[in-house]
Amino acid sequence: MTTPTLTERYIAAVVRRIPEAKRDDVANELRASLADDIDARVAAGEPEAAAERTAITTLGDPDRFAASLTGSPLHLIGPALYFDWRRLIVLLLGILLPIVAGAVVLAETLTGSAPVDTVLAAGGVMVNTAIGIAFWVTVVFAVIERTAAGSRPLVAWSPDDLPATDARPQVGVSVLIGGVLGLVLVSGLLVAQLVLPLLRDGDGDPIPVLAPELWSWWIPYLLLVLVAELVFAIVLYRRRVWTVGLAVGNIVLSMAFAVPVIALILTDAVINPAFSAELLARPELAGIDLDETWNVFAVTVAVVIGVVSAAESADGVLKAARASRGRGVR
Amino acid sequence: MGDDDLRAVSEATATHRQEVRRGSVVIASLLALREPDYGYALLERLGTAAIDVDANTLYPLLRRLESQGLLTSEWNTDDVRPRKFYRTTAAGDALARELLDDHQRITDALGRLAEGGPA
Repeated sequence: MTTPTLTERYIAAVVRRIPEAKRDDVANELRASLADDIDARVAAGEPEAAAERTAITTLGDPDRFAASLTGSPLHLIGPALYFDWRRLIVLLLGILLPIVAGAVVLAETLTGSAPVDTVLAAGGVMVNTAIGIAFWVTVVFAVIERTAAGSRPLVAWSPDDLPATDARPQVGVSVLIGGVLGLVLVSGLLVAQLVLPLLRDGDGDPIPVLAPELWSWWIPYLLLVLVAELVFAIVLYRRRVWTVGLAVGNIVLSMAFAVPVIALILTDAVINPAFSAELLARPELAGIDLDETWNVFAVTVAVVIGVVSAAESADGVLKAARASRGRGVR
Repeated sequence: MGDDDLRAVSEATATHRQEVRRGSVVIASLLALREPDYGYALLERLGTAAIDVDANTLYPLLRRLESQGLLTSEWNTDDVRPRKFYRTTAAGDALARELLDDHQRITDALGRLAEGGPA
């Protein structure tokens, strides 16, 4: 058995990357082309071994050469899809990271983790989620890139997509996303605390975290406020610009949500007595001052809700003020 | 100018020259292959005609033009060394004339611009 020549090794390295059906065709053509080139170089006075090396070096990296023979892209995601890819990743990260972070913080807090552990857990889950999103979006786009759809942007651009040059601050789609998220998150958590078996009673049924009496009035009221906030977000989004009336409406809605929630939390009216009784009976929680923990938690949540609502209200007022100054400047 | 500046200029020059040449290789190949030939021989003919192209650019180009129906190919096994001969199709011929006209118009316009006349 003879050692394969450099030429044969090069041809083998190239056709490895060529679809089965074309392999012989490419190999035979390449064999003839290289032989012709080597002959010409030898005729010009080059030693045969050097001529073979030069001929092969001229064609270059076999993977690269094979890719250009088959016309397959030398990039993961090309210029046609790059912006679709980037926009989708930014959008998904912006929506999903806050949701998972919120869910983890809530779950960790409900199970009584220390604040440091809660932050670490939330950070870890956010990093994993971000990596997962980036990975799978990239995989999908790399596949699209290799199909017929990959040669042009997925979403055609039109002049209508241009941002307005109105000097007044424009309301973006984030307002809508915020409105939907608020409603979905709160109703999701309300259902979750009912059905998730954080603690079980004697029959093995989950004990709701929130006091059942809240359903007779406060919970329906708060859900109604959230629906009103969503409607407000839609109106605001359609108007595109903050007005004084909208800023006032925004303050009223923020307060309508924040004031009762803060009051409920601070008056200990929120937690199901059956739930806290069961929690106190847990042997692994013996020695922990649950009242103290709850007080710290309640004050923290109340402050956060208060600050967020105040910031939201102020934001509307500031934007309405800037909008009235910028009016007419087009 | 420093060495880095000189290198940047010569790199930019190489890129621009490559871009000017790129389209002419397609026209040249389609015109030349109205007389059937194999890849290596075409490479030589283009070189003689002062149309510089690398082997690893020309061979993939021939396959692409073939997949677009502008060239057809046929194996010639009469020789000791079997070779794949390419020939320009009617569609390829029509395209070559169209491209050649475009090229001529651009060359004329550039010539007038170079002499300072109206484009």
